[in-house]
Amino acid sequence: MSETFYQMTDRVKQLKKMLTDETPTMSAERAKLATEAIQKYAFEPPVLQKAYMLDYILRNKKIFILDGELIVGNQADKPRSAPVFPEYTSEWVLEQIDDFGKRKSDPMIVTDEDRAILEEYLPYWKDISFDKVVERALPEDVKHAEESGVVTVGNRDCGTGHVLPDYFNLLKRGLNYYKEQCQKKIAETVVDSKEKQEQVDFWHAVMIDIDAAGAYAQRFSQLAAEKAAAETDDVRKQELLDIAAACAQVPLKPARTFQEAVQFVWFMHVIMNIENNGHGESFHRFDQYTNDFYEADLAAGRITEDKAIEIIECFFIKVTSIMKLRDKFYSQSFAGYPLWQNIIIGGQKLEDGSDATNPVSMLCLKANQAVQTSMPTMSIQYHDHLNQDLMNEGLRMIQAGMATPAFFNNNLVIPMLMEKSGCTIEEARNWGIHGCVQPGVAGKSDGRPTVGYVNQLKCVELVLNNGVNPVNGEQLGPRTGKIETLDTLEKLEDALYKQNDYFVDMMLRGFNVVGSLHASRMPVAFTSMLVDGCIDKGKSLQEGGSKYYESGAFCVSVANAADAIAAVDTLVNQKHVLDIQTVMDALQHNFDGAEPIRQALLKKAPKYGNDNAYVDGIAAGIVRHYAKNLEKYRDSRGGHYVEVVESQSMNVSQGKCIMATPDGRFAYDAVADNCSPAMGRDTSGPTACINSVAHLDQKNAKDGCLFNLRFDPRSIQGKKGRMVLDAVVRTFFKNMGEHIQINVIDNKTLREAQKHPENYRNLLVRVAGYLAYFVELDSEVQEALIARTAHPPDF
Amino acid sequence: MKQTYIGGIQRFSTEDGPGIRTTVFFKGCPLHCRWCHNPELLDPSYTLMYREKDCIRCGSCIRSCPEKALSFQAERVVIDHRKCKQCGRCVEACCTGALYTKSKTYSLDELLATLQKDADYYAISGGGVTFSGGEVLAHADYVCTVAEAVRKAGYTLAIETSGYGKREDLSALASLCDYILFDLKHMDRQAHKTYVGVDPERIWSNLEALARDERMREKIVIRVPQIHKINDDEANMYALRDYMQQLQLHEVHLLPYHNMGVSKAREAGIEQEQFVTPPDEILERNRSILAATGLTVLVMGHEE
Repeated sequence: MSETFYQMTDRVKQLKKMLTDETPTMSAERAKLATEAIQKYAFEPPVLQKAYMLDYILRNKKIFILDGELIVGNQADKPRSAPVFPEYTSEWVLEQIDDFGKRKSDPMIVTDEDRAILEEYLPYWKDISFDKVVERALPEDVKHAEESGVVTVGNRDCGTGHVLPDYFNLLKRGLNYYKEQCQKKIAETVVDSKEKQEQVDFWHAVMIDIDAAGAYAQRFSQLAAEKAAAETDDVRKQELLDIAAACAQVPLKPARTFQEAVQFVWFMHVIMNIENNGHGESFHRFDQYTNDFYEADLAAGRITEDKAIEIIECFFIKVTSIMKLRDKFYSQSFAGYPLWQNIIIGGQKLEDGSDATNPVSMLCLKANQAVQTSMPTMSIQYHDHLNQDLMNEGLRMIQAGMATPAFFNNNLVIPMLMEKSGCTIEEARNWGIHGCVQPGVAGKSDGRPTVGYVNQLKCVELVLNNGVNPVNGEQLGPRTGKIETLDTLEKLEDALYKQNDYFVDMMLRGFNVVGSLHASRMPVAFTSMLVDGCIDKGKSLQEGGSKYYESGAFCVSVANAADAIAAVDTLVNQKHVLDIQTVMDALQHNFDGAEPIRQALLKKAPKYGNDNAYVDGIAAGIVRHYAKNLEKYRDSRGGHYVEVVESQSMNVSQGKCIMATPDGRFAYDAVADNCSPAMGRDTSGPTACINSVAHLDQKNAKDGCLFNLRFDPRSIQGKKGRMVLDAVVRTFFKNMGEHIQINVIDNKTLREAQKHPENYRNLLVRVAGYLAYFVELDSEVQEALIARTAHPPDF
Repeated sequence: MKQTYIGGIQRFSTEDGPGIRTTVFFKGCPLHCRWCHNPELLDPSYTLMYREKDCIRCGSCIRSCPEKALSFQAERVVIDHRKCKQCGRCVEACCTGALYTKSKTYSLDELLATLQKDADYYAISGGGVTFSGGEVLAHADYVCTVAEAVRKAGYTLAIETSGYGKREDLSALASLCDYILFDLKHMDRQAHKTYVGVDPERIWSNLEALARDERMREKIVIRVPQIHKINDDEANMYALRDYMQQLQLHEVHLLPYHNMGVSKAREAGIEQEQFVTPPDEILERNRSILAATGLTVLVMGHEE
């Protein structure tokens, strides 16, 4: 193999080994400190309660510096350990405590010591944690519908997350600047109303948090200095002294060097992840806000390219060490310990749209290929004049099976973001990803792609049964007509849309309750301060403090729904090959004794993913209708609701509530993931599949469409293969796809990895918008990955 | 014009010329290469295929056949090709697609509509359309008509040919296309007859005539299947090298044998013998032999 990639240094190898050898654990420390803090500050309003809580935790938590680390700051009391956030969740943590270490998906060991602490401190929160408050407040009909799996309401047991901090300014100003801003605001404000008092409380909370962050950094500065004093190796001693100096400078004062800039970013990130347990906190355009520091260091002879890459690698290892506790259900749904921490490189300059690729862009790719950690997720912002070296380097990594980077399309995203947020073109060019595929204005947006989903295939099932849920015979959705009366495509689609609208309304009523409770009970001042607008308005993100905000509602199992509608319309309505009663009987019996009917549904009607205008049109119709319907609603901050076509690996659980369906799918089988075709149904090759996905008319999904494509590595090897991949990405983007991620792993490898996981611990796969170690995935998720069609098909 | 069957259209074809291409496989071939990797395309007419592993033995096909050409024998459907009138009802009736055909006649508009679907990919990747087979020269009139339409649509065109046909057909088609992928199966006359079923004289003289015209010569890429112990020996490689030098040809692709033809033959109701893929070291040796005189050599599946 003539392909060579950048390699880790021994230090980084050692750090990575420590990370991957570490079995994930749960950490009780934060639960204890949070409980002690809340008892002290119970009288304060929520925003100050939480500020004092963060202050107490940062001053009292255990800190450590691992051998060889260049970037310091730890989330929990041990590496790769998930802190417990009792103010968000408590009861289920205790209920599932015996299972965490044993569960198949994303296990987490609980030591006896941690267990004892949790058993002592968690009961205090049993009925008052946020998830319980939400549970009591949610409308009964919403909760009831949720049990059927047709709809969910999200963001009920964790922070809101999905933040795009203003690193451009933060790094240059230092946090003290923001403290002064708050002081000024307070001095200028005459309190004469509840609202004004709330603003003042918020500014005070920010100031407390800034001091807390400074104290936390100072602790690391001291620890590094102590370690330096005891260090016998001269090289390491100097490194520790540099760390001590960096932590004495940032985050309170502006970063002066590349290392300080990265250290600054890391402090902000880790503190956000201690303050609240939201996910999707973004690093967005890392290359853009760190490059000045790198180039200045380089000019002054303070750094080399290799050193900078090593710092970035150390940073990536830290990013992967962030953990989040999830319950049994979500640990399977979001398998692989993901936190959707994104970096996006390349893209365009704000002022004139010219290519923004800079030296750090390439360093990020080199660090990514060398260290190969599951986080952060690395993506490239594609535009028509993107630096071809950067593009080629990304494609070379994909050819080698690294499954990273992903590609995003500026040609679609920039106009879409302007329409979504009402921002200027300069702001739109400065976009980043929060979550998986959700674009937002870097430094200014607070997205919330956590609304929940409406399960399209379940809606089709309700259409077939006139709103009755066949699982239990209950009238779940509206009566949209007996199926035998729905004898045209138009009638079928209309019935589907009606079911949809009914559950969308439910979902948004539910989410507005959740969002309002986040605002009234869970405002987080530290995270809010990082986003432009909050200090100005004196409001937290949760209350609509950021300059731009919206909420993303998910549309799932689109492919199966389109296939199912197409099968009924084609075989029953148009060709009269099957009669509807026969189909309904077959579905009811899960095709038992009716395999020819299943085969006909499967093979004799067109399937989404094969560049067939008719069935692709049904899928696009669903996406369009969903988006249009959302326009009527506003979230609890007054923001728009926007659509996301994405399922993560929740497509496994999304299928478990649905009986056999007319797309030929057996009862309870997984549905299609994201905006991909249903598994194994795209049999016309990758170009056809890509065209279908592009024809979804993705501009309607303003919070993104996640698309996974997998190639047999042999089909795209060498220079020609790279050119083919390049053309695949460019053509998809020319046809206005938003995002594409490409895996090039063959099923043989994956099977081998299942048999001999010990030999494949390094095998990274893209599950959906994030990378995970394949061997750490639950066998069901592994099977789902394997079942996704590999291209090209046998000819 | 006689109806010409097309035996399949493959999108995202990356092995038949530059870039991303759509390959049209014309049915019917005058040669009988014993290792043929598209044996279902040998017959110029409609070919009914049966993929046993997909069959659920529901019997719909047998009931649907007005000629009673289908029957169950030893748990599989057997087609009596003498009785089959090629009406296609069994294919319609088969719910799993186990009985299938890729044989289809296309109107020019239909064909162009299919080719147009990947036009963006051609433009961006420097790809286009490839005509393969079967043997394109077996339907020269029709193929030339389609070729003109493809040119008019603005796509680049490659043809894959054994060169076994009328010289004027080859030259007409050659002038319409951008790339000529010309197969040379064996450089030994007797072996050629034994394994390919025809005397190579006509092929060679057609190639020589084509190569005399400099504009045509530039389009030619020689393609050689590599079948172990049949044509992968040094002598054959030296002969090939000398011949290419003599004709001033500059590029050759070696295509290592794969046995996919065997299962396709089985599905088409044809017996095909198994051959052996040359070991990597032989392919590597052959690459060096050919490259030694400055030829551009590509061993398919072994790039970079």
